[in-house]
Amino acid sequence: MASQTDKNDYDTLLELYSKLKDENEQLKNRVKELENQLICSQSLTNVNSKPIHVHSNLDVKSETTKLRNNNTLSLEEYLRYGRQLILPGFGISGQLKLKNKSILIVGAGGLGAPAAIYLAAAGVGKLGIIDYDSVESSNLQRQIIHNESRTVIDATDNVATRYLLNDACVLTGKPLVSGSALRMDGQLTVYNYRGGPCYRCLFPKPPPPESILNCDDGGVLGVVTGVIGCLQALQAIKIAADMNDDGTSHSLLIFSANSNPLFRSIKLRSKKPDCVICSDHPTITTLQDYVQFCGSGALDKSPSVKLLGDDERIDPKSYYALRTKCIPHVLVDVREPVQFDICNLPGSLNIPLNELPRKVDLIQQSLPSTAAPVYIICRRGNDSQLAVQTLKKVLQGEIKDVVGGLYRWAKDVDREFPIY
Amino acid sequence: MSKEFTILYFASARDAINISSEIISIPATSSSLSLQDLTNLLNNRHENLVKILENSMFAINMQYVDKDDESIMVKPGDEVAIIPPVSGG
Repeated sequence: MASQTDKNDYDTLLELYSKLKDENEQLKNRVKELENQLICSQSLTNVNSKPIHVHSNLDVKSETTKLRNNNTLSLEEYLRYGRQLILPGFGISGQLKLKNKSILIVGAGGLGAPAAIYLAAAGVGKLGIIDYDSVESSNLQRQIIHNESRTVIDATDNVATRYLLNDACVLTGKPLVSGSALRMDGQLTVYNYRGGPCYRCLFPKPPPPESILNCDDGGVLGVVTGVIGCLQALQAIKIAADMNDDGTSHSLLIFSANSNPLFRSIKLRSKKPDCVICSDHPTITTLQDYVQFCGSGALDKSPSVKLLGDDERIDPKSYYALRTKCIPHVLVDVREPVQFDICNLPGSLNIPLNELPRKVDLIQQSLPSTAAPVYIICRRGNDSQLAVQTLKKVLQGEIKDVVGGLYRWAKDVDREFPIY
Repeated sequence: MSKEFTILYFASARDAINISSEIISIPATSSSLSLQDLTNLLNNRHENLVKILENSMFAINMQYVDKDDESIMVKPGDEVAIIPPVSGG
């Protein structure tokens, strides 16, 4: 009798042990996953300082072989991805394909961040995120060429990097899911995919640098980048999971938040027969110097320019001294009215740079005396120099710009003045 | 019959002229416009567009057209889209 009871107890304990062991294993896995997610989100918050390389879901080096041969889902994955697993046209085969694919996101800003969230949540096996703010682009070229990702997402913010990514993808035969956004507009295209065009087919010539508006100068509504970033994630998932949409039609999707309809789809043709890089007889066969090609750097901020001599400029502190002494003058603020409304210096006259040639008489009318000096200010001290050059052609007397604009004014003179 | 076509301006093209669409008449002397004619016509109407048009993609009735293809004509009733590249993000 006693031995029978012992045996029952023993079996019960054994069962309990086995259960606890399983549970322990599951908890360990969960902790590992959460740790990975934490690393991912921490790195995402640091995009401004250093180039970051984030690999979510799986650790790249140690798990690469596992990634390639992974043909099963864990119990937890069935549960987590249940809602997409039951999608006709996606299913378990789609999920496994995602699990075994790698996607590279270039740019971790307004487009890249939402794209990354949805791609990670969908269960993409390996996700690389690169964000370079002030690192030389030569580094980036190497990264992209040697990256083993099968799909690249262009979530960058400047023209030079867009041409670089296009060429890198054409040369290595990878589809490029390209998204862009500015102000209230966005564009989405998959380049170099299933016989479709590349970026150069549609835009062979980069726009002249002075005509390019970046988000820093032009502004952008966060949700506009969010919409496009999510759509980029969607297209990348469709490619990675081999989901079959109508693969024969290539399109450029245009999103205009202020227009009706919000979305328009432009049907594209196949690749351009004489495209310099993706045609059958390319003239470009290696990566180029894209900063030189575009005439602008891989930045989304306008670099400071110096167009005027020191005698044509006044620093904010000296200008402040002149104001406190009540020396008669006119201060012209050449920013757009929408920016002037945000903040401005008392007494300044708002004439946007592009209206300046037509409105010189306004300045003349405001002059307290014909000999009074004219000072020009803008946000950062670039446009104000152009304005001085414009005015000197039509006005006599002292015309100077305030060095560094309102940005420097806020730093050097008035700490309470808003910087935006 | 009216000889008008519609132009849609997107992104920087729209911002440069503050117009999102307009209806334009094909000059009385012709029944259609080549893309070069169209470019000249738009440049004359809107000085601010000149540089933008050089780097924009054109589409007729929501379909991409090759700007160098001289056989492509804009006909009455067409909807032409001017699509400059957007590069921010």
